[in-house]
Amino acid sequence: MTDRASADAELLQRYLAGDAEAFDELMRHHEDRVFGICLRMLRDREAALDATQDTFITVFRKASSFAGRSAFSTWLYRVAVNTCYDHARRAKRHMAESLPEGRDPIDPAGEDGFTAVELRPDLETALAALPEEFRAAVVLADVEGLGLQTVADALGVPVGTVKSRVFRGRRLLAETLGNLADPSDPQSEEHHA
Amino acid sequence: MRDLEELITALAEGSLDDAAAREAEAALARHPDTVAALADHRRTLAAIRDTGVVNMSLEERQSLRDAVAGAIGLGAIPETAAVARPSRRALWPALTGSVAVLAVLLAIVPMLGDLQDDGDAAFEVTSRTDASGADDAGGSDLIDADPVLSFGGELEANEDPLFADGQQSARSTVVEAAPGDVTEEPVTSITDATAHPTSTTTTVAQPNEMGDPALLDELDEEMQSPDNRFDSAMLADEETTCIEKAAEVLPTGTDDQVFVFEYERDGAPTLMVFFGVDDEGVVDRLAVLDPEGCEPLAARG
Repeated sequence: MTDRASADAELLQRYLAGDAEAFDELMRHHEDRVFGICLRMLRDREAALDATQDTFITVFRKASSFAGRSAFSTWLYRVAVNTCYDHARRAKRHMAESLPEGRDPIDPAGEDGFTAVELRPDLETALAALPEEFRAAVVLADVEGLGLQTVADALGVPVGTVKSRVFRGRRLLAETLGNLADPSDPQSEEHHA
Repeated sequence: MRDLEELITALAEGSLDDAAAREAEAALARHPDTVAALADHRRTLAAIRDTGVVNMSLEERQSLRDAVAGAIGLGAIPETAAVARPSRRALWPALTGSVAVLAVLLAIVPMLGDLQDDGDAAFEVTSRTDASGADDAGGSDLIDADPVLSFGGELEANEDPLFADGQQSARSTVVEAAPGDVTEEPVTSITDATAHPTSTTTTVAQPNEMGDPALLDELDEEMQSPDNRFDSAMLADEETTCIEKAAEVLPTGTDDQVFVFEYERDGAPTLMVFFGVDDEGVVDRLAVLDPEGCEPLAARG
């Protein structure tokens, strides 16, 4: 167990014993990263703040049921990713209901659903265009810099699956960013077929 | 193919030593498509690493902490909550003797009464005096702490039957009386489950199951699995699919908050699982609904 994981485990026990300072410390250590994950998953600051809040409420409410099989942070990220999935689904549903006919309700580049955040706009759009599971893997592994095992635990999939999703996610990102080799290159076309 | 992907990834991330990297690049150079893939990875990683750190503003940070602390009832955390929890499977037999979950039992009385009226012998109704459960400081404080979703006020008699025509939804029912009183009379008043009167005498029942028992068994197994989906469930709110029906079906528990997850199964339709936990974080009630039409399939509490 890493120092951080050990510290989190101790803080969690102190929190469960009623120590409000432990709550503060856990929040302080993790809130920015959770917010970062949510922001990059949802691309909307208000939605990310909501998802961050829901994540911590869920985690603290269920803290006593946390068995410690993984690091607290890994569990936290898993809850965060699932919360973001849930928020994204609601946002799509809401947009589908509220947009007039003829508008693409899930257009990631559309102006209605999202506001610009801190990433490069092109990268923003490229990330948003990724399939959800690829986006989660890329955000956790590349944007947040988490280890593959942590990402695997957070997503509830094997490490091999994470590697595959990151690999494909990066290629799709590159494609969207216009960084691919000349598409007229027959070998490149073949590679992506 | 996976080996090739891993090699490209390792090269792009710079995790190979110089000699291995030179050797790998030389090998990949013979295959233009892999060269293109490597270039893609390097450019993507460069773009991602070029981004700054995202932080909340001080105001956002304070607002977040206040909201979370309020929702979890910080300051009223019971010391007993630090005790390691039993397995979830072990919970159900233990419910009967647990003062902490007595409120759950109080909540399902009218429903059980209705079921008994229908001749369902599976539900046993007994009498018990409770003068201590309401003083469970942890439980009541947590309940009072700005619940995200309160079912107490929504659980009026409904016209839409629960599992069978003519039955009423789950709701909290208590009879206020002097300490020590015991009654088997029909309930005479209905109050919000979160009220927790200081002295309550009531008719209570064993925890019960309704609907498809195989489905409930399946969820028991899910609870025991290392990657069980209960641990990653979300807080339900008014926008959650089928929340209104779930509010009718889900028995009232020791805590108002309701969690939900989409229960995806191989070769079977995805279902919605709603559940609540007691003040030790143990699942003490759940309901399973079909998201297509929100039909209740099973419940326990």
